[in-house]
Amino acid sequence: MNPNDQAPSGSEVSSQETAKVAPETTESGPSYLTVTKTFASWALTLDHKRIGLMYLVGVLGMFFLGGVFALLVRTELFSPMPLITPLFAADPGAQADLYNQWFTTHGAIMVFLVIIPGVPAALGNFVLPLLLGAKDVAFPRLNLSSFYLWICGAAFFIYVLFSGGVDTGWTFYTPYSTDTSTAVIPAVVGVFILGFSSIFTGLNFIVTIHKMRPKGMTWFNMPLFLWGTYSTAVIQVLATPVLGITLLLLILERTLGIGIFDPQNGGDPVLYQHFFWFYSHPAVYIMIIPAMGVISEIISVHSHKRIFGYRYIGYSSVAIAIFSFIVWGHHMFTSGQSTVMNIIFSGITFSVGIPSAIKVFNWIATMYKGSLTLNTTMLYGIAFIFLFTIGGLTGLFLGVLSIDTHLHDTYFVVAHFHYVMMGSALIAFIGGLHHWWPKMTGKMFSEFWGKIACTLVFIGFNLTFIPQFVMGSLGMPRRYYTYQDKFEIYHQLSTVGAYVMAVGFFMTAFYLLQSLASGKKAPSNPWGGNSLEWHTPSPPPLENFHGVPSATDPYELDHFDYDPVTGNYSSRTTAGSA
Amino acid sequence: MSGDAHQDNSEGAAETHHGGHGEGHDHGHGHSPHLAHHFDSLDQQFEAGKLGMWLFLATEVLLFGGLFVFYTVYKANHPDLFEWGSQFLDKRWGATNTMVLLFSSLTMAMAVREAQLGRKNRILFYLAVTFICGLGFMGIKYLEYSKKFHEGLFPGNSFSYATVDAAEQERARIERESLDSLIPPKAPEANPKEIEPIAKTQAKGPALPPTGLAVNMGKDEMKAKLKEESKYPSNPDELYIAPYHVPTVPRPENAHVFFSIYFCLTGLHGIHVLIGMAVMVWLMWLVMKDKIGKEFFTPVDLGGLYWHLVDLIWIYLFPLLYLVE
Amino acid sequence: MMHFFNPLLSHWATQTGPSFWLPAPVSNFADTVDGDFYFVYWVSIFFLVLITALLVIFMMKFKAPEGQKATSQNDHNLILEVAWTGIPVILSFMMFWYGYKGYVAMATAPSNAMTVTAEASRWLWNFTYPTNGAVVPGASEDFNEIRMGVRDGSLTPEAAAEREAKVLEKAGLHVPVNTPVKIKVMASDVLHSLFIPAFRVKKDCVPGRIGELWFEATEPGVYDLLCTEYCGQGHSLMHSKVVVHESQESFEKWLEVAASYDETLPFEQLGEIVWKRKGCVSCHSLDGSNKVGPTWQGAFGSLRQYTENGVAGSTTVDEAYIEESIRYPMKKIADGYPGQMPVVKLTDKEILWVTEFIKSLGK
Repeated sequence: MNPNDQAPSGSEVSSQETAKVAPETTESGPSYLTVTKTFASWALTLDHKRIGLMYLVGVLGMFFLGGVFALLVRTELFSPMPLITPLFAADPGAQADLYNQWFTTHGAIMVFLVIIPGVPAALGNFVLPLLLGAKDVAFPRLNLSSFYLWICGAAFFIYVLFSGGVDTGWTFYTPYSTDTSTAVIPAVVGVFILGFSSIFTGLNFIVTIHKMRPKGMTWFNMPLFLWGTYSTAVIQVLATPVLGITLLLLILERTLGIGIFDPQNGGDPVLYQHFFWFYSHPAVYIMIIPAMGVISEIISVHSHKRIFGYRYIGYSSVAIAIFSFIVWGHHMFTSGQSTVMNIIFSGITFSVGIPSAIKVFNWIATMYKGSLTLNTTMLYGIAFIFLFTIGGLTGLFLGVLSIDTHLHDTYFVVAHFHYVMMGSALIAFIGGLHHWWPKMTGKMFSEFWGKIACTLVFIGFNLTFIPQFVMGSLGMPRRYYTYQDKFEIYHQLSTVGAYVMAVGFFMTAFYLLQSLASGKKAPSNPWGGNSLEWHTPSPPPLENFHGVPSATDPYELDHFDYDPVTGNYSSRTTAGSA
Repeated sequence: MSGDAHQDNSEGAAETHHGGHGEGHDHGHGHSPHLAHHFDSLDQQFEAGKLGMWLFLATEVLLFGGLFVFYTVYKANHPDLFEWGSQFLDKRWGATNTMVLLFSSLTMAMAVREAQLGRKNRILFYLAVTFICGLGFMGIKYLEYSKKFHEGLFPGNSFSYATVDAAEQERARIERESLDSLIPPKAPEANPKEIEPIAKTQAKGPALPPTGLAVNMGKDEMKAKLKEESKYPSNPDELYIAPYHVPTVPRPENAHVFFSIYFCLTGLHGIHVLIGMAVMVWLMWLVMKDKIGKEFFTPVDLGGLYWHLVDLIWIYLFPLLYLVE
Repeated sequence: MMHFFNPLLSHWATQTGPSFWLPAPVSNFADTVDGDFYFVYWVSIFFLVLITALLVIFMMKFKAPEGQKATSQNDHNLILEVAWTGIPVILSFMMFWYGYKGYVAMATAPSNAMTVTAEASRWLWNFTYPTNGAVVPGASEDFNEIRMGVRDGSLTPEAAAEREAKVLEKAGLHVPVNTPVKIKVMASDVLHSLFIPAFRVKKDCVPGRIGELWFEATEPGVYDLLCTEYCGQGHSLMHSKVVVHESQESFEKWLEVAASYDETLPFEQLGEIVWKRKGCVSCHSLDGSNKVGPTWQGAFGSLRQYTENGVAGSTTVDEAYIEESIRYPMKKIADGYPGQMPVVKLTDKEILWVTEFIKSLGK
């Protein structure tokens, strides 16, 4: 952020503008949760908050399902000998098949149903119009239809579970996917539908951010979460159609044998990989960029300090989004694509690392001389920085051509992308959930249990995946049902870690649910944030704001007074007038 | 194709939304009935709709873009496929269809213009003409497709051109022989020795190495033969192979991939034309119900954008598929 | 190849045993790859420690109760921004450069390299030596058996080593030490990937394409060879061994032996060797359990329902049927099985032996 023009004018704007925001009227009317109560009023709602909440429930449900499969996989790998698959199948071959279905299901559910829609669709839907001071997203019906597309995609996955599973790995690589006898087509149709759900959400967000910003909110005083969602939305709109057409062709390859991907019909399996990663590499950034946006909010608000290097963080989101389209080939260094291509892709890959590094340093600088409230949300924020650092740094190993030749398709890769996709994207999702939980539900959760759960998740996570780095670089390939004895100890540590993590997540589920029943009532601004969602009651009324909000400087965080009785941060100007 | 159904739905949702009448907007003080509750002004709403439509068109372009890349890759790796396959496409039908769509783009533009002026009957007229053009396009597509199916030019595993080709040769030979017997003095010697074995071996199935007229004859020989054939009165039976159907180059391996690409590209485009036609019907219905007027013509405008995109894609498809040399 | 940037690394990069992070380096590429690895590793450790330390220090130092104001609202510092953009740029470029150099060496095989073909199919390896046309199996099944035997205690480590040596007499990828070897990789059904961790080399086996990798082994010994591209049911069992001979002579001597059968053995036993060597073992069991293909136990003389070109039929399993099924595996597909059998090229003798072996498994 340019200090010369932005900071002074920003603070002026905010002190004038915040006065215009209607005073706290928590008790004055029904919230969006209570305004109507019928089932239809939820199922057919056009309200972005209800849609966001329904997404949240769905995503968390799928997270549970994907987690169960992760635990099945990890439990099985506790021993190199068949351990729990014999409980489900007698035949050794069928046991291996079962394991293959488990890791495929885990991967596909977590990627397509949880992490991709997690932050943008669930949190983004709820928060984005609030941050903009808008009543809703630009196209509420399209929004609802994306949710139902998501449901439809999820239904296909559930159907796959009951029709013999799918065993291709979440990447659906040809020719295995055109050849296996498992339920590939329903799974692919599910992903295809989810793709359109994702496209429509992205389209909606782009238009909303472009056309529905309130008076006075320029691109450079938008909260950074909006920069994140915007960059993500661009990727969603531009990359997902390519996945769509690729999956359509995969279906046609399987049903008609059109000979695009299957070498037996004259096709080229490497072409499939190019197309798959042309989407799926940007998809990694669909997961991580909004997560970075969430972290920018969390770190700044809970440090009660202006975000450091606003413009750098904002620009780096856009830079990552742009670079994400031209690095897909780094998934294919050993696939036989040409040497020149490998070198080019390796070079560009490093360019994605730079903006990520910039973000990390800016977050840490934000904490410097702040006033850090080390609550659950902030702990998740700090955990994110640590885990994302590991995820990013281990990505460097994989970008280096010579090292990647050794590490490709080993557990090193597995550990790396779990650090990015779970340790970063998902932890940010959970952090964001805690950050906005009071706003969504109007209830405060237990900080005590929250901190314990966060610690368990953090320890469990590292225990699960650090051993995987070691065994990966020692030569343990991924997607192995059974392995050499020398890797046993690493696998056992990893499995123990997975269970520690599971305990942490279950604890989280319990205290969050408990807060719904008996949590303390949430004030409108429990953390001391200044973006617009904190200027409306918790939970917000149906039309989001009483009165018409105008833009504030979202990172002007030092003009609040804390009221220990209500737990509310109120701005001095408002407090004076009330 | 479930995906396309969804596309249709959501698009409908996006558009009906603009026409939405702000049901549930409880504080409507003098708002236009066309203004949804969460927008401040009709202008903002129109701008939002237009940007949304452009973004949607961008996704459409990328959807087709994927297929165009497949086309490019296969064209670069197997140019022979395209040289061979494109000879089965009739440039005349392709050109006609291009004309039809170009004309429909004009009428669509006129419809948008009339919508801005609020002239109901004229909007209806131009929308109807656009719809009829779409119908004509699909009719021609139907003729082209049925010809392909008839000849066994299916995509993928069901590709059976070899079999059909052989059967046709056999049939043509028999017909020619029967004609010969009718007009013996003028008939040149048919060459059954060359053709008969093809028919017999081909009948076993497509697994055999690719053969065909072209394989068993030199180019000159075949040209001469074609010249001879053209002396005969054209056969009224539609099974007769028109000259443009006899490829002048040998059939390459995996020839069916050309038709996979052909059917994927034109099929996906065809589905878009059908969706466009449905949009025309829906727009006409809106106009008839007086829901479109001078001050609110967004649906026609956006429908027009969509139709122009569909036309534009065909403009690319036509030379890429039909005019390969 | 030594790297100038960190003298500490040379210790790691040139040691001969396995380190905490990497297996023993035994090829010409190992030093380069390990040097690159440890360069990135120490850079990463530096930044991780730095960031973690800052996080912990800030958490302790700036921790404050609710409501306390931050002591600074400073939100910019150009020098810092330039520094933490510039330094990563320089380091990234160095990493890219080292990776590039190492990779180019891997991608260009010397012209005098000895060529071996590695063909992967579900779920076995076959290595062909062009010099005398010997086809040597990967013998995954044997290695798995040995592994299981050691695990359940039925094999002592010594017995296991002995058995492994016996298997390796006629199986595995054998190469002479200090000789450039070029491996042409290919696949007959789905994607596979050839990975030799100790050599730091890997290449995907793509059906319809021929890939290539090369290396020069620097230490005699026996090393793992694994499949790293997911290929279905037997993916994790699809491993074999690389044997590095201490001289060209011992390698050539081995090659002679590997190409031959001990024809003094009875036909059934030779058939069993073929069953293992040619990979029948991965799909056809002898104990009645059904794998990808029908079991051979009691198969001979039984009635087999099959589908041929979509038409159902049935036959008694006899010599003719077995021979036909081996030569044209996709012709008559036994009902209830996926029909994935590859064409395994067997000599007439081998077919005879296999047939006798199946006969011996009872009617």
